[in-house]
This record gives sequence, C-alpha cells and structure tokens, in this order.
Amino acid sequence: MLRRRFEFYREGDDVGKDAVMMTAESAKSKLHWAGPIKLARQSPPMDPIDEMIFLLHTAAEIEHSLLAQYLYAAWSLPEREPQRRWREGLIAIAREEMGHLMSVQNLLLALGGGLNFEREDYPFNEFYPFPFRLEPLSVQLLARVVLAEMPDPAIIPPELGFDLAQVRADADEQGDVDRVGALFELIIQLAEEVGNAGFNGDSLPFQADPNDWWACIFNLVLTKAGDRDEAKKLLEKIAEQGEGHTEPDVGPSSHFRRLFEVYNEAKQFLDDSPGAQLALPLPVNPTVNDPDADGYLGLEDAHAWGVAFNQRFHWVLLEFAHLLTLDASDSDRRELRSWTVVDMRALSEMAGILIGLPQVIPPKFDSFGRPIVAGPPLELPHSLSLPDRPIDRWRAQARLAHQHIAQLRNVGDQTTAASMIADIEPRVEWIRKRHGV
Amino acid sequence: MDPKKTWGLTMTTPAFPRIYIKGLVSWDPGLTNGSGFGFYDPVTATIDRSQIPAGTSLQDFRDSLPLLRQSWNHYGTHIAEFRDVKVTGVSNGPGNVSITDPIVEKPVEMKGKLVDVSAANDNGTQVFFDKIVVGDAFSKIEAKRQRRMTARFINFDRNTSLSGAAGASAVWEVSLPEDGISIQNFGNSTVLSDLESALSLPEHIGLSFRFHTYRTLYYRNGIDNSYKHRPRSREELTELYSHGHNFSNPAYSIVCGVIRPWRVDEHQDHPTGRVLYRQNGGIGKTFVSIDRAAERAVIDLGETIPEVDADATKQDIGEVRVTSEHNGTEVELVTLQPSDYDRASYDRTAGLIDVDLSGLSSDGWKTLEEGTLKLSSATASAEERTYVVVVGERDTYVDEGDSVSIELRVMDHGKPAPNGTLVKIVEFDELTATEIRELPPLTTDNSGYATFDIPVAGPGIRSYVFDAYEPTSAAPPTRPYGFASRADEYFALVRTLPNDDALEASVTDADLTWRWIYETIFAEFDVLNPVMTRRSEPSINTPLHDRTLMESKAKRVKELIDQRAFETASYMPVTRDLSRGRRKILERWCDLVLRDDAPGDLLLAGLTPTVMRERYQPLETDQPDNG
Repeated sequence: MLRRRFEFYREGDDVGKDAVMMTAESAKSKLHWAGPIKLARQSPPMDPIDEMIFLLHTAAEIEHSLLAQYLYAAWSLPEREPQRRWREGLIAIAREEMGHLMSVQNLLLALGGGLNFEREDYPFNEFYPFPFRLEPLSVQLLARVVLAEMPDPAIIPPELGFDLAQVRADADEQGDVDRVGALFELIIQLAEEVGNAGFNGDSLPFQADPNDWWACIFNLVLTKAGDRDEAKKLLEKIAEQGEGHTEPDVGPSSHFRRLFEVYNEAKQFLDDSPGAQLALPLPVNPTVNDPDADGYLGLEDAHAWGVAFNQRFHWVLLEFAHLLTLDASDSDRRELRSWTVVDMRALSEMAGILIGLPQVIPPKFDSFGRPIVAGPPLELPHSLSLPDRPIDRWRAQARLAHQHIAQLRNVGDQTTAASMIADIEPRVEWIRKRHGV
Repeated sequence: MDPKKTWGLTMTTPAFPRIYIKGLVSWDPGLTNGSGFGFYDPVTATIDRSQIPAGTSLQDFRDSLPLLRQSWNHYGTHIAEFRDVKVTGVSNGPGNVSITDPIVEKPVEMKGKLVDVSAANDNGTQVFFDKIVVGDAFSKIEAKRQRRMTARFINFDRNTSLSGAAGASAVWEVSLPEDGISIQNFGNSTVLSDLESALSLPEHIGLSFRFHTYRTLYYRNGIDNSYKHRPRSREELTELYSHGHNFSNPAYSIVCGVIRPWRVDEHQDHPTGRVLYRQNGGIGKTFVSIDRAAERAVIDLGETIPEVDADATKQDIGEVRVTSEHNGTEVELVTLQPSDYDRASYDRTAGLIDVDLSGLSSDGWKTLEEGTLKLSSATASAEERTYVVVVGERDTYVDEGDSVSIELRVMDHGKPAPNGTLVKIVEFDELTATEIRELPPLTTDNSGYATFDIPVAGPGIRSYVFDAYEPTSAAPPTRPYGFASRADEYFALVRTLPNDDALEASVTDADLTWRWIYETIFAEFDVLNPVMTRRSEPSINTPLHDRTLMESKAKRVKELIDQRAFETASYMPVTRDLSRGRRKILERWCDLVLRDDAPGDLLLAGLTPTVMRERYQPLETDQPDNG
C-alpha cells in the first residue's frame, strides 16, 4: 500500500491557486492533459532530503521494473534475424537501466538514505504508464515502452515520424503523460534545494564505481555523486539517456529512440512476413508460486529451473546491495562484484534453458496455436532487506549459496547444473574461511 | 562396449531412423592471420612487426589494417552458425520419408567458431562447437560435442557457375557419443521415440551427423541477416571500413545433411564407406556403403552431382550407373535417372539413395565386396581406389617439444585392411608448400589400425600425407605438394606452437605490467583481429587494449585460455595459437590482478618494476586474511 500519494498539475499553473491537482490515475484518463505536467510536492510537507529519498526510492523501483520487463522481452526473442539484433538492443537497454538503478543507489548513499533494490509489482507504481507485466515481445509491448520512455511529444523532431496517436493505439493504453520525466524533474529541483550540505562526500568510497562496472564500455550512466552539482548532472544524464529530452552527445541514442526504431522495424517485419511471429510463445507473468496462475510453470523441470532462477535473481540483487555497504578498499567488495558478474551470466543461461522447456504438459497454446514454453519468472522474495549486522549478511549469503546448490541438484540438466554449482561451491568455502560462518 | 574393438567387423550402411535437415550456415571468419595477408607470422604466432612502418604505433597500425589488407571480412567473429536450418523430413526405413512427424520443420541449431588450422590455406577448416540441438522445447534432441568438426574432401568444382570458394563444397561428419545425448519428446514425435529405442541397442553408440556445405554467397548483409551495413562489393566494403565502421560481413552456404544412429562399426568423425574418385567430368566424391546382412546399399551422392547456378539447380549428367567390377565380371547396384538426383531428390534425403540388393546372387555379392566400385554416366565417371586412410583427428595443435600421436585406420574395399598393410607418410611444410621428407612407413594391425607418432618439430605448420599399399608392392610415388590435390588425399595437419617457455621463465612477476602484457600478448590479437572492440552486429564490447576492462575480467580471461577449454566454442584465443609459455604468462598476470598485486607501469620513466623493487620496499597492500 502506498503511504504517500502523488499529485500532478499542468505546467504553468500556479499550485494553490488555479492548478487542478490530479492523481496519476486520473491524469492518465484525461487526454486533454497531454503535454508537460509537473509533479506536486508532498503534502503534508516533508523535509527536502526525505522527500528526495522518497522519490529516489520510487525511481529505483521504476528502473528495476523496466529492466526486468526489457530482459524478459529480450529473452523471448528467437535466435534469428532480425530478432537477434533486437534482443541485443533490448539487453543493452536493460543493462543501461541497471546503470540507472546503481546511480540511484549512489544518490541514496550520498543523501544517507536506505538502499532500495525492490520492485513494486502490484498495485503498480503510479508513475508507470502501464502495469508491470512480464510478457514476450510484441508490437503492443514495444508501443507501451516507447510511451514509457517518451519525452514531451512537442520536442520530438518531426523527421522521426513519431505518430503519437498510432503508438497509443498500438499500445492500447492512454499513457501519453510524461510522468517519469516529471519525477526526475522534481528530484533535480529537490537536489538544488537540498544543496551541498545535504550530500555527504564521505559516502563516495561506498558508491558504485563506474570503472567496476565498465560504464564507458557499456554506455552506462553511472557516476559517483558527492555534492549537489554532481547529483544534478547525474540525474540529468539519466533522464537524457532514457527519454532523450536532448539526445546524448556521444554513444547510442536515447532509449526512446532505440525502442521506437525497434517498434517500427517490428511493425515492418510483420507487414513483410504475414503470419510470422515476433517472439517465442512465452507465458505472461511466469510464476513458480501460484499454481492457479496462467503463467505457472507446471512442468517439473521448468518449475525446478524457475525456482533456481528466482533464487539467483534474489541473490544477485542482494549482492549489489551488500557490496554497496562495503568500502571500496575492502576486498570483500571485489569478491561480491565478481559474484555478480558470474550470476548475471548464470541468469542468462538459465533463461535460455527455461525457454527450451514446455511450460506445462499437456501443453497450453497461444493464440497462434503454438505450444507455450516456460519463461524466467524474475519473481522477488518476501523481502530484499539486508540483515542489519554485517556478519548476518554473510550468513545470508551462505544460506543462499547452500539453498541454490540444493535447487540446482534438483534440475534435469545436471551437466549444466554441475558447472553452475562449481561456480558457487568456492563461495561457501570463501565465506567460511573469510568470515567464519 | 569399446567401439574400437568392434569397428569394422561388419560392413554397414547409414542406419535408421534418419532425420534430414536443410538451411543455411553463416561463415564469419576473421581473416587476418592468413599468411597470404602478410601481417602474421605463423611460425612465431605473432604480428610480423617488420610490416609495421617505422614510427607507427600498434594502435595506428591496427586502425590502418582494414584498408591495408583488403579482406572481405576484417572484423569477422569466427562464428559459424546454422541459420534457418530445419528438419525437412524423417525416415524410419528405406524409401520412406515422412514430413508429418512433429519434429519436421523444427529448427536445427549449431553455433561454433570457424578456425583454419593452417594459416596458409583452406585444407584445415574446423568448427569448434559445444552442442547440436534439433527441435524445440517439445520435441528435441540435444547432443554434446566430443570432438570438433572438420571439413573434408573439399571440391572446388561443385558449382559450374560459381568460381573459387563460392563454388566449393565440403563434407562434414561429426560423431556425437551417446552419453552426451538427451532426447526430450513431449511432442510425441515418432522418429524421436524410434531414435531413443535405437540408441538403447548395443550396436548404436551415439548419433552421426553428416552434412554438406556448398553454394557460398558473399556480401549478404541485409539479405541473409538484418545487419545495417550492407556492402555489395569489395569497393563498398572498403568505403565503409574507411569511415571506421566495424561490422561482420559473413558468407552464407547451403547446408544439407542427415542425422542418424552412429553404429559401432562406423568411423568417428569421418564418413564411413567406400570412396569413388572422379575419373572424368566435374563430379565430386561418392560414398558407397554396403550391408550384406541387410542386403542393402546406400549410395551417398551428397558430394557427387554439381550444381549449375546460385539456386543450386543440379546438373543433368544423364543416366548414372553404379557398378562393381571384379575379374572382368560386372554387377550393377543401381541405375539412376536425373530425377533421382535432381535438387528435389537431393533435398529430400541429403543425397542418400537406398538400394535394395535382395536379389543379388552370392557371386554378385562376391563381385560387389571384392570388386572395384564405379559410377558412370555419358559425361562423367568415378572409380573406387583400393584404400581409404581414415584420419579421424585430422588437425592437431602441439607445443614445440611435445610429442603427440594420432590414430589412423586403413580400410580396404570398406573392410579393415589386412594386418601388415603399409602406410607411406610424406611430410610437407604447409607454409612453404614444399616436401620435407618421407618418413618410415607404418604397419597396420589386425583391425587396420596404425598409430602415427607425430615427429617433434620446430614451430610452424606441417602436413603428413598418407598412402596405403600392400607390403608386396612398391610404395606409391610421392605426389608433389598441391593444394587442389589434397582433396583426393588423406592427410593430417599439425600446427606446432613456438616454445615460449624460456620467455615465461625469464619474466618475473614484477615485469608483468599492463603495458608489457599488452604488447607481448594481447596486442597480437587486438591488432590483427580487432573484433573484440565490436559494439554491434554482433556486440562484443571487450577491447583487448582496454586495461580497465581486461583487469576487471582477469578471472574470465583465465577461464577462457584454460587448456581444458580448448575444444569449446568459447576458448580464447579463437585462433588457437597461444603457446604454452604465453598462456602461463597470461595466467600469472591474471593471478596478479586477482590478488591486486599487478605491478604498475613505470617503463616510460625508465624504471622497470624490478628496479623499483630493488630501490624501494614494496607497499603492503593485501587485506588481512581472517581465515
């Protein structure tokens, strides 16, 4: 349940006088509200630092939601052209969203706020133009994410051929309100208000280091922020990479433009190849937890891999959170970072295995008559909170390792599982020797 | 059961059930290490630095190479991959091809790395791969690799309207052992059920996959893939390279083949059967297998009939007779009409023709088994040679000073050659295309086997050409080195990597700065094959000259260069030319980085790390180990 509400008003209106305050949900249904909108300050008022932390938590959840949905859509694409190229593009965008998520954590560290790697599945975040939904790539999905990443339509160059009405029709959504942009605008405004005094330079050694994550190579907007100006610059870069209010000076274009390009290509592909399918028949919202859900992975092996996938996903998020609690000079941090790299590769491998298994037997069929295959569930555990005491964090890591090894011993492909277990077993030993637990 | 003990005890034909496949294969080789391009020294396995103009940095040289080399694929990834390959039909017995089984129209996936063992020519083409997958989540065979694939019997006359490599073909046979095979059959495929049953029989030890690659087209971006850079000629490619564009320009061949049970009496990774060589006309090899117990023969025309155009339309060489002659007596196996070998027939069974020999008399069988097989038409003819020398592991990498053996098997009219059959061996230098010497002949054992201990030699690439003969006969004459004639010869290729052990022994850990490791090891690959810098189509994004990235990936680098990963598709360097000494150096550097103990770069100031260590006490940087 949301403990705070968000309200919007039209740009130019004077809050408190002529401004019509609307919730995100009601603004969504008011088409005449298309155009720049503003996010109102919280009422009753909060301390600016607390308000900024609150909004950064919201931003983190949006980034997490987006990257999960981009990954799922990317994994749904078959190994052939042009889908292979689209997948590469979507994974690059998901990786960049991961960069945004890490940057938001840096800002939270700078403000002295708690880290947040959570994701709000339902009720969905008010800023997000459509409910969180893991689904295979489709024109409708692409249209939705184009809307999600869209800047103010007024600043989209005509030569791009962007037809808002058409995209909205394809999306089957009314999501033309630039709410994510409004969120970042207010966060930037708050950074100004917080001033240098609100940003703690002593957090810098704990913040994610762009060199550790190959930010230059992977086009990640990820820097450390120790004062107001660095924070504002980072936030502006995040907004720029996502929505492209102004296109980045170097490197790939904004997410909006890249997604719009895939959207156009996907539509062209379907026009050129009648009867062709964009994506593999993956379930919507796969789950290992709800046997009554349409997306339930009912095949025993698919279920076993799905359980293992969820645990590894949980684990990698915990590793990110854990390493940000450690000083950059701490070799434990380097160890955790190396685990995250292996874990992200393992997640990709597990996703590949899952889409090679039926979801259920006897099979269910999609609307094109194709039998549905399993998909990586990307479900979150009951909590992503780190234990409070440092030693308990390592105990949690060890438990995750033991549990994950047990899960991997339960899957069908024991050759692949053995290779994954071989990556994990040394961690258990390392934790035991290093931390005695 | 030990396959070797039973191989060749009976003659056999390709077993059932069979799965026929067809589609395309993409070839995306990086071509920089070909000696014909002059910038690579295959003896030292390093850049030929004499080719770098004075005063030119490695980086500038790297950037100038795309235009200097004029290659058709400077930024190739080495990836070899099936593209839109599908099951076209299945067969559970002679003459019967079904297209209704659930596995039909399902994809066939193989993705590996194309590597020529010889930088000098195309005789040693290999694909390192990890697995082959046939089908989808519901009906699927997944077969793991034991050994890499090798292209054999290259035929440059396969297409009458395409010249050079475009018109060439090759046959590939890869054997996939049973313990690496999994069959998933939720789709109730009959052929997969039959295959599972077949694999439970003792005479079957896995799957054999024979396929043919032919009709290769170049400059296909935007046609066979969706890459954005779409040059249609060398000139357009050069223009794009000159603007700094970095992309793949793969070639595409047709692939057509058959997957079936691997019988215990069939060779591993080499076509089983008697081989007919061209006498007249432009035809390729024909493989004939005979099974007396089953009273059947299989004529494999997979390589035989040329195509006449880019659509792979088969040439009409008229009526084709396949016969056997012995002591003036002839027995006919089959007479084929053009409709039996036209494109539709070829695609249907990958060129396999099953022949019923149930009416053959015992004299006829004797003629068939002891005689010489012949194929003849009005315009072409081919004839069997007595011996086939099976070189299962044709391509070998060895470090200078190490000894290694390979196994040969000599077949005589499809049966193991008699004990004491001799094998002549001539050693050639592949880089200078010259004969080195004739080695003492080998003698086969009771099962036709002979072990060849490859002579220890200096670094370089050598080939060994084998020719079998009876002990009572004179040895066959030595044929001069010839690239084209290799298509008719049985040979092994051996790449000997230089002994860099002394280099490894001479460098201390303190010398292993980033600059040293880059210029001594990474640069060889970064400069000649800068594919790791690729940011799209496909993205690799791991430039070897990026110190931060390389240091951050030290653990992964160590995994990828591990000798135990040599047969995998992901092994680095993909060109397989990292010597043992250099590997050890790189492993040491990775260990130093992982321990956070790599020396700094002080060479520019004239202060080597060794000097620095002598002058100053090293700083204690290690974290305390609680354990």
